[in-house]
Amino acid sequence: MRRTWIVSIVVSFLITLLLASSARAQANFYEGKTVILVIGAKGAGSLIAATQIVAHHLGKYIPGKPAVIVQEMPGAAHLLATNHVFNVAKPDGLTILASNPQVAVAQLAKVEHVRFDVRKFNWLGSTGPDGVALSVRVDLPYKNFEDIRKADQDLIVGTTGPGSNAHDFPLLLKEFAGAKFKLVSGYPSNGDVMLAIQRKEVDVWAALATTIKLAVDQGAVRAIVRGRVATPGFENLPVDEDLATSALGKSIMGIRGLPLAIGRAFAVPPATPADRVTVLREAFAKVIKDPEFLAEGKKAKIDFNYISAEQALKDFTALLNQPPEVLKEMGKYIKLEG
Amino acid sequence: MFDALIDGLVLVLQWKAFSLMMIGMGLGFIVGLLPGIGGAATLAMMLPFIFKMSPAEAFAFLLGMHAVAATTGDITSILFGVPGEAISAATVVDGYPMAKNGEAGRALGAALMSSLVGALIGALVLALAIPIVRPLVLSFGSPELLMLAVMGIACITSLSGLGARSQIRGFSMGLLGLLLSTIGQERQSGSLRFDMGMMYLWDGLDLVPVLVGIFAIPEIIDLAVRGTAIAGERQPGNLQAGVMEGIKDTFRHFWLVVRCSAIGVFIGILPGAGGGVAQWVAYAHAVQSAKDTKDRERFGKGDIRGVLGPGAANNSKEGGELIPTVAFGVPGGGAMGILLGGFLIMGLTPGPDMLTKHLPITFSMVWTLVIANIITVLLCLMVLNHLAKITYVRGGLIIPFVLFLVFVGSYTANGQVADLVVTFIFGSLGYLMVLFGWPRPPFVLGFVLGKLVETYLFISVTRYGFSWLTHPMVLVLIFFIGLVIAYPFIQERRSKNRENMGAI
Repeated sequence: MRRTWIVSIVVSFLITLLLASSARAQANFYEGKTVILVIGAKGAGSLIAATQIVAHHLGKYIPGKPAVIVQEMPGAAHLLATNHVFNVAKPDGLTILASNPQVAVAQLAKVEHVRFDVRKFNWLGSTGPDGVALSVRVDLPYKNFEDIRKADQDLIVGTTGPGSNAHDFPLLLKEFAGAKFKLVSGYPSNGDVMLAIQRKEVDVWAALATTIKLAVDQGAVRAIVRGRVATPGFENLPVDEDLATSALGKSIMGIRGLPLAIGRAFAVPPATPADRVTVLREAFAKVIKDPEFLAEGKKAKIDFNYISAEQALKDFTALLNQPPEVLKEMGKYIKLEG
Repeated sequence: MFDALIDGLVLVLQWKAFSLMMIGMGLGFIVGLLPGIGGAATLAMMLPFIFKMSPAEAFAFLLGMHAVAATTGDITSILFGVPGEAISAATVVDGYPMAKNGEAGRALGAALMSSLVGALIGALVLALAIPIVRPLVLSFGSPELLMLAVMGIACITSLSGLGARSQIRGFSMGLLGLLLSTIGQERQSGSLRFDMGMMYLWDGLDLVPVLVGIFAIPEIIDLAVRGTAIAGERQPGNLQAGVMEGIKDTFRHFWLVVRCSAIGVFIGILPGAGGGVAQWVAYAHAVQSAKDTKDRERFGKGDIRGVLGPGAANNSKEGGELIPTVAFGVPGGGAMGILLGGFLIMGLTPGPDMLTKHLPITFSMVWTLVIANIITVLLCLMVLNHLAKITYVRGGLIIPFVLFLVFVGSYTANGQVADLVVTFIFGSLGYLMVLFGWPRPPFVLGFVLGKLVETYLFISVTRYGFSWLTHPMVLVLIFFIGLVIAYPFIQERRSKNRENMGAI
């Protein structure tokens, strides 16, 4: 009995020593270094703002307190940055991808330029899911989705082009839920669609729920439908999948919405040493609970909700595990490339 | 509103905001001198520093930096023919020939003083226009914006030189620009065009490496071939006098400066019109202001009006661009896009509130632009004569330095080696254009406006069918487009008639 005690004490001591030396090794590694958060976009947007806020706090939770900076690498709808972190960046724990999970849909569609596998990234977790919502200009008489189904004429939907929430969300409602929509695509940004709403060039606008919420608060639009992820204030809106009139429509809407449920996820390259991945995951989890971090998120009107690395990986795997016949049908409505 | 104006000034003049603005200006000065590294790239790098600042402090810091970068961008355009920023390219057309004629000091003095006047006029117009700016912006829908873009393209007639041959060449270059603007992912269907299997081309060609290549490389080759200093074999005269002359020029052509400033503000205010266009339209207007064909021929060879027009518009549009950014959340340009990111971090929502509840903050931005411009111009004026001396240094010593600036500037556009390749390709194209006498400005206009024309044409037709052609504002704009196209020909005919009368 006594011997067991002694052994367990010695083992615990050794484990503690090992952990301490590992932390010290990581502290030594990160001390004086710079961690780069690579993002595949530039300009404004909630993903960029969320990444800036993560960068502002991540360093203090990594042993050795490295500097953390954001590097914008725009191009090819985030594929360039994702390819870079997966293949080119040194897997030393100093380069982190601030991902747009929509790249998984490009992988699903076997887009020629995809040089990564989202299942092989070392995910650190996500700062929270993004909801999506569809809204109608406030001066129009349509109060709910049924009114839109029964509209005398097509409502004009302003979109930023195929592949965007602004385009695909109303398109699926038109194809599978009987919405009377005419899509006018090509607006350069969501801001331009909002402007078109104000000058009455456009009747309907879909975007991230946080963006639509701001327009609702300004009295410009009325929210009508939301995606699966509920955003505070929009919980009671009907969900797109529930409005679908066919099982196929419902499953396509579900697949389309999955990346949004993963949200703003962060990852390091596949061959990153396991102990550094652990250090970064722990630091990431601590950041999301940091009161200052949450306050900055609140100020920027971004809801932060921690999603673990395991959950992110599970969701990505589920997203990529689709039967070919559903994919084929999906390709008819959703642009899966470019 | 007057209270908000004063409150805005007070916000900027508080010691912390003012100090931060000065720090921002210092950074902006360095960045402005590096070609291609526009305010946007620097602003993006500086965003993490604003977390602990109040909105007024943050915008004093960011806009101070941006305003200076816009002003000092003209310096390299004039000294080396290398656009300091994408938006400073029009200054090259007459500014660099002036440097080659030994008038770098005068060109620099004129560029900076017209920038200052432009910034002041821009801010004044903006302050006065705030009550009407929302209805004004909302009256411009996609068809009207399309017509404005077409009007910009119509300026090619003024940028192409005289005679049928020059006009054909100008329009051919404009068409080439339009064609190259279609490279990349098309906005409407998302399909890829001319991407040659390269991801780099998905987002189209970036303006910075294209402009830096097309303007800078031919000048560097020219300098190498000549084997002299930029200003030739001339001996430096009284450079300070040259700078003073440039300042005086601003006031000699004061109405031109005022008109070009107004063009800058107006183009800046319209969301989506694109800040890069303002300078070229102002330049075209300066050309149109020539008294006769002989007077017009001076442009492109070092006419001071070709520096004053773009200089004024460049800075006045900065104020104008604030409006779509703060009031509608539609960034007027790349730098304003980054500024919108700053809005998010600060917890401010762009929208009508920025013109009512948060009006003092909006005015604090306007004041920052004004104060930063005044300080920059005063400081620059003190060192301009020293800067002008560079044009008298032997070319062999200057070329490596300028080439370094060119490639650093191009590379920072997207941080990719392909940016350097694009610079090289367009440098070669630019050299051939110069060699065979094909004008470069129409190409730039076509390239910059191509995407806008395509976007708004598609939206107008999908949304309105062909009924958009009957919109009253569209009809008015079509009339003006006709006028812009015809003006150089009318001017040429008048000039010929006058000559004939003289001969009789």
